[in-house]
Amino acid sequence: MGKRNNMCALALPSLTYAMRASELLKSNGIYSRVITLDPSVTKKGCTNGIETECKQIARAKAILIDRSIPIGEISGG
Amino acid sequence: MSKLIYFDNAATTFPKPETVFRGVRKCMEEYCGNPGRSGHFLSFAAAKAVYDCRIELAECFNLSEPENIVFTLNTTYALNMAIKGLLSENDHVIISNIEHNSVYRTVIATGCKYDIFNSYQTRDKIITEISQKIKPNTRVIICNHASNICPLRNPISSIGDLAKKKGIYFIVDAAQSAGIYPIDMKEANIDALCIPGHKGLYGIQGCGAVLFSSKFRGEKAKRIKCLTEGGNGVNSLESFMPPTLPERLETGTLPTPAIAGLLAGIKTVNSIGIDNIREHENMIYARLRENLRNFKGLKLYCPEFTKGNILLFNFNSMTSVQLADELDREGVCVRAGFHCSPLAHSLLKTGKSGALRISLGGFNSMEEADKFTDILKKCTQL
Repeated sequence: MGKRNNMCALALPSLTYAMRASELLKSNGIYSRVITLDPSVTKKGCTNGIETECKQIARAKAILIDRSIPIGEISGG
Repeated sequence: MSKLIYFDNAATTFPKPETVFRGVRKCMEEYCGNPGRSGHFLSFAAAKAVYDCRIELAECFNLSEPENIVFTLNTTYALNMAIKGLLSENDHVIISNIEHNSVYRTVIATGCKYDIFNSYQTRDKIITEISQKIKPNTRVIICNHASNICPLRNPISSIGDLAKKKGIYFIVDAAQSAGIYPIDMKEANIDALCIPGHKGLYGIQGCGAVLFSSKFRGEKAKRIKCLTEGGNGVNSLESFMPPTLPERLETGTLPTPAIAGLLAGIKTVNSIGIDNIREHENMIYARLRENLRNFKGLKLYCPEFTKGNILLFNFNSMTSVQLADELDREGVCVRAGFHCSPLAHSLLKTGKSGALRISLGGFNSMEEADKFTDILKKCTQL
């Protein structure tokens, strides 16, 4: 889960949830990218998440929580 | 032998639309990585096709959570997953008397006590009977939407309404109805909808699904016991399955080409319209029904049904297997015997010798209905 310029990552329970989250954010005008999270820094091993601009992260998180998408750690920024 | 007549669509639809061939081929040729495993572009492309199929299925059956769709090998596997996942020791179950062995055997294997309601009566009487059979420990009502041997259907909206009022889970086996009759999971209060990919949705064999309702959203999916354990690319360092769907229940590599085919199949069915497909099948059914009712020496079961896509019959001194064999020689594909439905055959009093089933699909024609009747005359005059 690394920092890329001004990008932040949100951990999600699975690739399916990452895709769902990315679609939901897209429909709300937020660009994001599905990524594989570094398993060495997650406590549970392999998983996926999304990467979006750090300035959008609070809004993105609110949208996902509103749609009952379980969110894990946030990193970067 | 002239052109074949395929009347075994309840077993699997044949042929498949060209769009399905193309969908499977494109997957195999262009992007068939392992979905949800590696982080490379082919793996992501495969995962995207799987996800797109979840979205399509969610829209098709009015489910808000595409992540609650779990891909399986087939409907039987989906039913095992839902039934064994939701039942515990000492639970009580209610099923119908037209269930396939995919439900009947699975319920028996759980060791739970069960009661059976009669589907061959009016909707009001069905609801009254189920109400009378509900006990304090009734956990699940399970029934098919449509029988696999005759035109009988269960009133799933009314049964789902009752299940909701009583706080009981409702599992529906849509093996014979998905893609033919509209199914609205929310309207019918269905908690687990089990579907095949290779029947009315015209995908290829090797893929089915169970769609879980919003009751199992997020970590509420822990209410479902896992039927299998193993790897799925998620939380690999943990020694137990993840708490959320679909990965909680999806273990091992998914059949991506079959899922890609199912995606193409659903889109094709939607573009034609399931009402149009059903009306087409109703029309051929009506012609066959008329032909068979007037066929000397033939007993047609459930003859009062004017609509449907399945006809069941026996002919005088021939067993259903003998007749199916003769029809096979003439290029006609039908199915004889018990069709894995001992309960329904018992209901129709064909439980000792079985019967012969014709099951229609979207590619059948009126011409085939008449041609079949001519061939049947030939086969029964031997």
